[in-house]
This record gives sequence, structure tokens and C-alpha cells, in this order.
Amino acid sequence: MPTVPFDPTRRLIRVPVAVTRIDGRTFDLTFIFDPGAAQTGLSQSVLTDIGINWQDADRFVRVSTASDTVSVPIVTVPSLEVFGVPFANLSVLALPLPANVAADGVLGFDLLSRFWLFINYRRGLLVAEPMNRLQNRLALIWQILRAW
Amino acid sequence: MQPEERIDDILKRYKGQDVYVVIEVLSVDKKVSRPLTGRLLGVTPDRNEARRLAKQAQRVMIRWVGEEAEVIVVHADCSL
Repeated sequence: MPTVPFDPTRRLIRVPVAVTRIDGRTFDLTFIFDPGAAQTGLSQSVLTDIGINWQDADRFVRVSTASDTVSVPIVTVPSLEVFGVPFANLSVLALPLPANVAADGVLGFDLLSRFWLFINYRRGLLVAEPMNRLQNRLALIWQILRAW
Repeated sequence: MQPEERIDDILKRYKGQDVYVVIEVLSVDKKVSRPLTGRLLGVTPDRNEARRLAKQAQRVMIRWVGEEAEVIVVHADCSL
């Protein structure tokens, strides 16, 4: 029943994400909650940090950012866990984010669309429940009532 | 070896400095994958050094704590 607190005085919602490599090493990252992003992506430098090779990617996609349109590689992450739900072999963008972007990646529509979401901006609470079971639907209603 | 501390407390100590903080994660809130406590492995302005420090641990986080840009908008032009 994930309810994620965020700082409502800031203009970003940041959420924790865990990425695990094939060898079992896990990296705890912070992503920007961005429903306007079509696809989830990780910073290229973070991908390098966690040992995922993005420079030899054979797939690319055109991406528009606030200032530019660039071609970025697509890589496969062995396991990515968000809101307590693991996703295996996920295709993500390798984004050229500068170091001073306050996140390691962007959580986009492709993953967010797997969840029921409720945001209380005034209190700084984000509720996310996976859309797979009746039990999750009931949990969502309960969490929304608590976050209201 | 550094003691186990709340990760928020570790990051708060270095906030505003242009450095990478490397932390071995010792406990996690399983519901949201949020790291709760950890042990400081090192603080460095050099990304490669941070990467090297991170190799010491099985579960790790590297966090930039310097000046932050606030806005990012990303849109991929085709579906995958």
C-alpha cells in the first residue's frame, strides 16, 4: 500500500526507485514523477555508475527535452522496482541529464500507467497501487481516504 | 568503518556542496523501495571516484547533493 510523501513546496515529485543488475547488486535511485514523459529513462551517467552499457545500444529514439531534441539510446534494465512493484527486463531511455538535475531518472507514462494514482499536492502525498487485483483497488480507496 | 545512520541525516550534512555522497544501504522501506538507513562510504566531487567507492557494497546509492536544476520535461517521439 505505497503512500509516498513528497515536499509540496518544491515543483517536483521525486520517488524512490531500485534498480538491480544481473549480478544481484542493487542501486537505490531517485526518479522524477513525470506523467508527461512518454517513456521511463535513466541518466546516462547513472547507467554508467551502475554498470549498464548504454554506449553500444542498437536502438535509438528521438526525445524532446525542454531545450532540445536529441536521439537517445534505449537499453534494457534487468530489474527495476517502483512503488514496491518489480518490473523485469524493462526498456528505458538513456537520457543525457546534467548532474544538477535532482534525480537519477524520469518515471514516465509507460510505468505510471500500470498504477492507480492519487496525488494530494496540499499535503504532499502520492498514493500508488498496481492495477492488478481487487485487493489493490480496496487498498487504493483506503489510502486515498487517509491521504485526503 | 562509519556507523549506521538514517540516510536523510547523512545527506543533510552535505546538502549544497557540489559532491557525490556514496552510501551503503542497510535497510529499505519495502513498500516503496525507499532506503532508510545506511553507512557512509565516501564523499567526493569526482563521479569516477564515486563509482569506485560504490563497488564496495552490494546495495548502494550515489547521490549528488549540490546545486539542483528544477525543471525537466522529456517526451519520446515514438512508442517502443
